[in-house]
Amino acid sequence: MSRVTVPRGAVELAIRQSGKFVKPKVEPSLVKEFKIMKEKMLSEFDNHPITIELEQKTSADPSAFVSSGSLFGFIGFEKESNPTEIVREMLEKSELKFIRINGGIVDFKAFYPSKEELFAATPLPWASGRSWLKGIESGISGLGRYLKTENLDSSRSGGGIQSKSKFQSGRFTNTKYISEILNNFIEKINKLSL
Amino acid sequence: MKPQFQHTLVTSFYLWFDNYLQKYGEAYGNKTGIFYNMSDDRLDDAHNVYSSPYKQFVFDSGLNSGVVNYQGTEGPLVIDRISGQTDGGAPIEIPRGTSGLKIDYENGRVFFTGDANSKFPGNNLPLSGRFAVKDFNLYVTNETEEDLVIENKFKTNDRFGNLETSGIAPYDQVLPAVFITSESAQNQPFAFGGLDITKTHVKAVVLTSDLYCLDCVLSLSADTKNRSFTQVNFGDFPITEFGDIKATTYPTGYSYKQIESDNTSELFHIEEVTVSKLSDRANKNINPNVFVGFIDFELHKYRRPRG
Repeated sequence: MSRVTVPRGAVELAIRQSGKFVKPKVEPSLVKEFKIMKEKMLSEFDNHPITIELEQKTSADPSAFVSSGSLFGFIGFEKESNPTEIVREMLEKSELKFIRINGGIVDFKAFYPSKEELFAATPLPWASGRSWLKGIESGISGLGRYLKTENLDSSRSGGGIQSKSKFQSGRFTNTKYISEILNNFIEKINKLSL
Repeated sequence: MKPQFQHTLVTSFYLWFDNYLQKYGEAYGNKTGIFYNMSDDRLDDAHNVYSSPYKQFVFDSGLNSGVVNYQGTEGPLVIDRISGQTDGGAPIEIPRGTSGLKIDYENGRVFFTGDANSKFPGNNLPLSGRFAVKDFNLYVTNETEEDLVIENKFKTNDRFGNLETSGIAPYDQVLPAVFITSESAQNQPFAFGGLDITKTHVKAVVLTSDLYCLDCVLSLSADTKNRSFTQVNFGDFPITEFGDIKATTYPTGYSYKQIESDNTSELFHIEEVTVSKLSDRANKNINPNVFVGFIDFELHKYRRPRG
């Protein structure tokens, strides 16, 4: 049987050029996989009990997380505000981007918001340097509720408790929230393959 | 029960933060003041109590730098004696320890328990002393933020040198002040062999009647990110139950500078700090003359909790 020898230059050329042939083949399936992961992450966020309670605003009373009243009222959000909206928007912007072709290697990069970016975008209504999103995980005081308890009609969330003598703010139970959702998402991205 | 890690952490943090504010912010003022005879239900008749109009006194003698500072002094005056006149009018100067003189640095007062023959220098003496008062008192508390901010039960240290005619009541918490609480802790695996990172969230509420001072404390605190501070064991906290310095542990006086230089290996690390002001001033239940700030520290310590 005769042997065929492929010149080394031709092999190198083929490898160098393989990326641009591979990219159109792999990109659609990677993007599709990423989209499924993102949908799962958003669904995890939407169905998290914290998100559900915050979206129900003051009607989520009794709350699973504070000893009295709603979580929305406990934090002290404005009646009209939708605190989870900005978080969802930022998570929604997560995407898989093609970066470059380097010979036979096709680089893609996943972009998603960091915890720090999310915390910076979610200030407490009464202390703008503090994040309610971080507070959900590390602890949050009931001061927000008190700040709107004086008059229910003019209160910010309409969910405060009347208190003329002794106020009751209740206690909040620290809960794994955005860290867990992001960690699950990152774990899946790291396993992304064809 | 034996003191645990959390006790060591709070002790270490308290002493470091107290020193940090005074060292880098010069958060003290040197004063000369009168001590007024007061009563204290918690002490028996063997204690003759004289109280200044201020609290808390600075007790860290390591802060005296020997260099003239922003205030035109070389550091805070750590009171170790009082002067005055006896009942007969003779001038006296009583150093700490003489005639049972104790200095209650936490409550801004002194008291006598008498000399070896149980003789007091007098019951109603005109006494005075020179001392440094902290610009921000420091308290470890278990009260919630809403309790601290809303109940407004605090007295204020006199800032403008108005004539004070009585001492300050003992045990009252006095503003400006920083209230520290250790909120939560969590161990996370770090390395083989059982080494964990213990992450502790320490929260501080700053209450003051002066916006300038609030900005000072918040600014100084924000700059503590990535700093480390030394571990001080619970038993080495320098203050006794009477508010005086522990003579056996610190026979030549308490100096945080000395503690720092003696212990450079066991450290806590400040991983994260966020500072914020209370922005909602609308609620009329909050005293409009009190400004509120929040400092959230995340402290890390590498340790073997199961070791």
